Amino acid sequence: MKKISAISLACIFLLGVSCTPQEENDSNTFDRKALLDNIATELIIPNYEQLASTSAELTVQAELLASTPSAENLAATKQAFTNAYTAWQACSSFEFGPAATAIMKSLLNTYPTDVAQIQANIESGSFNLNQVSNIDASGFPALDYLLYHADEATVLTEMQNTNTNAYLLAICEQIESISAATLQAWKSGYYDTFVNATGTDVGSGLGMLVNELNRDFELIKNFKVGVPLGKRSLGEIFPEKVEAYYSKKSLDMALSNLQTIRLIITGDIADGNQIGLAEHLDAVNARYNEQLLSEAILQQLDKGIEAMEALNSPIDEAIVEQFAATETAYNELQSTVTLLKVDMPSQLAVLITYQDNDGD
Amino acid sequence: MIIKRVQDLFNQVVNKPVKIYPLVVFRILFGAMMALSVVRFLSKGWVQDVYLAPRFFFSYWGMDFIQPYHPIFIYTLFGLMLIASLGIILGAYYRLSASLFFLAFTYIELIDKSTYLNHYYFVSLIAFLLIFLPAHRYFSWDVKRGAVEGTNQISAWPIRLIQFQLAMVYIFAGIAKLNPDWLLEAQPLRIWLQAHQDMPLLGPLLAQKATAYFFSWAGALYDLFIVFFLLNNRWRSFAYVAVVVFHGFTALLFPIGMFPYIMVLSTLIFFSEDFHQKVIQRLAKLIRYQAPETYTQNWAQKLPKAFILYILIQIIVPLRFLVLPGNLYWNELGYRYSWRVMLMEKAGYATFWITDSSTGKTAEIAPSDYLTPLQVKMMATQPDMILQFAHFLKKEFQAQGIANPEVRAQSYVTFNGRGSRPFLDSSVDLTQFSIYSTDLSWVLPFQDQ
Repeated sequence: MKKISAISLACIFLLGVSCTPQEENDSNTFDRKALLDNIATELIIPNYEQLASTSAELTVQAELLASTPSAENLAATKQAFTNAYTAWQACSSFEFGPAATAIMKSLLNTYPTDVAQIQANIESGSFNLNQVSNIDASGFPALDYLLYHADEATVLTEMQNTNTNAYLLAICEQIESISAATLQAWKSGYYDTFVNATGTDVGSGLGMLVNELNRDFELIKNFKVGVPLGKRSLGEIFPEKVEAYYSKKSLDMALSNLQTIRLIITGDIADGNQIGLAEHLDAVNARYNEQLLSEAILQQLDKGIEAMEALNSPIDEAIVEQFAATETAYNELQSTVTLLKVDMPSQLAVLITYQDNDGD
Repeated sequence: MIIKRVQDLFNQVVNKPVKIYPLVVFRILFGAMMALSVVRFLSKGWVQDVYLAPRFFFSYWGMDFIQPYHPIFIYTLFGLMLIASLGIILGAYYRLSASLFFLAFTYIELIDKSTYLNHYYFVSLIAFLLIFLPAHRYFSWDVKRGAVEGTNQISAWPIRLIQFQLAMVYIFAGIAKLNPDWLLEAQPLRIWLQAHQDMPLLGPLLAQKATAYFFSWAGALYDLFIVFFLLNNRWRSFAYVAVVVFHGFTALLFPIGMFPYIMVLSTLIFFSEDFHQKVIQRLAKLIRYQAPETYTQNWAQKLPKAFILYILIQIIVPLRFLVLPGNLYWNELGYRYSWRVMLMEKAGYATFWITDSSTGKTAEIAPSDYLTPLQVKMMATQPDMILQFAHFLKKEFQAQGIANPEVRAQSYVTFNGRGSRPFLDSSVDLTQFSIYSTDLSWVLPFQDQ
């Protein structure tokens, strides 16, 4: 009797297995360590290296500008600023581990910057850039203001004020030291921590990568486009709230940021093993209706990038001159969020919550 | 005649005299696990994250008054739970302890829907039952101090009642697994198991599709039938090995906290009186307190009628979805309190829009500006919570001077590996719907492909 029921159960089981369509792999094996290694070795560490060297160069130029406020030195500093800010856009999706510890994103890129606070700090000549109250008076957005808020002559005059150029220097040095420390941490141990955390739970390499990619992508959508476009304010637009407002680089910055996110997904980095999140999704047969989820994500992301590229630069001007086109770009980014934040983590079984808790 | 025989059988099962030991061991283990759970919850800082950080709570119907109110209040409840669980372990001021534990625990669980877990519900039910069961009549402080009379023998129903409750958990969890996704697609286990492919030894196996099918079917069969094997003298030991293996696996693979341990220890109540007597003797040696071998008094009471009602409710509540409209997994009407444990992979991303009806202007709302990450995540796939949040937003914007705000929402939801799709009719002003209504016409119907 027992035997018969055991056999019949086995039959039911086999029946269940055999009547499912066999269009896909029987195995979902994927080497997550290879993915993490590719992202870390070919993207994260080189990007931090780029940020560390460009921000070191920025300090050098700022020192020259402080000692000799000349037109050439101002131009060189602006160029160094643009280089370092662009390098930062390629790092901002990696706000975990050393960067999270240093609250790097908040310190380096909180915008819109608080002009009144900057002026008060310069006036008093005494300030602590690590204080929470100074988070929106430091980082790249504060440099953006200091270097670009007025015409060249005015800025050069201001740079003759020792308080002003001391403030400029202090910010450059802070950016440089945080960047150097983060790079150092990745090179001296964090790389191992990252690639060896091969699970999908909170604190795993993949978990952190996917979560922070999403957080960063939403910041692009909301703060580089949405808030200035009036999405949060009953249609009242705030063009001046864009990133890199004074230097008019908002579109370039957003596009650099998006391109890095695209690379995390494709993994197609020049010297790497070409393994990105897309390969992982394919390995677990992740589908989006009739197509591969990886294809759906890249198609939608590219729509977003193209819609952004179609805008006049900078974004604040696009909002005024091409409102509908900017809104289209926003909507394309919004559609991308769904795929990145709902489908991708669900299919990879990555917990998309920054809060530790039990499930059932 | 037949009725008479059924009555006899019922009396035999429910009212016959049995030894009290299984109930006493259950009391001690349950108290110990609760003490541990409270300490664990506190040590993880979850009181702050879950009950103090949020500024809005997803109350249950008609229970808006259940709020955290003040950090001191919440921490006092946790303190009370800890003391009460020690009282349960020791059988000290037992009924008071069990009552306090039940009230404090249930209050905390009712604060916010986003913290709902089946195993918390299970704990509430067991704590409620323990209030009325004579689990302190042996090997307890209350007997030692002479507050109650000790006894070796009780009517069977207190033990049966706990066994019944465990049976409900398993059998309904098993029935819930009898759905096409679980059995034919091995979803969501295919998604969940492949995530563990980096595990040593087992990992490569977990990436196999066949493993997901095996686990799905084995899990369903386990849930459906384990109780019957545990009730059977011959099969009990094998069944318990299955219990340990099954819950061991779930503990290893899924972030489900204390639940596996609670089930592994709770199911010991199916073991024999002798087994539990030995456990108590071991414990007695350990603490050097010997309860008298025999008491003259027996505790013999008929099963109170109220518990028959309790049993009926426990059977009906998980089945209420049958009379509620819509797809259960999509609309989730009647999903909670029904032992649907680790049953689906559902995730969503919700956006809200508030429109000032006097100007027609619209602003987008990011739920994360008002809710904790856990709340955002739980709300995105659950219509009742989406509606509650819409009403919260209405009040919020009325306070900001918009007399008649309309609230619309969209959420993109993925379910068991299907591509995300729109969940709501985003043209509908949600404030037109009462949070007490089961009218979910604003939720788009579930489409399989």
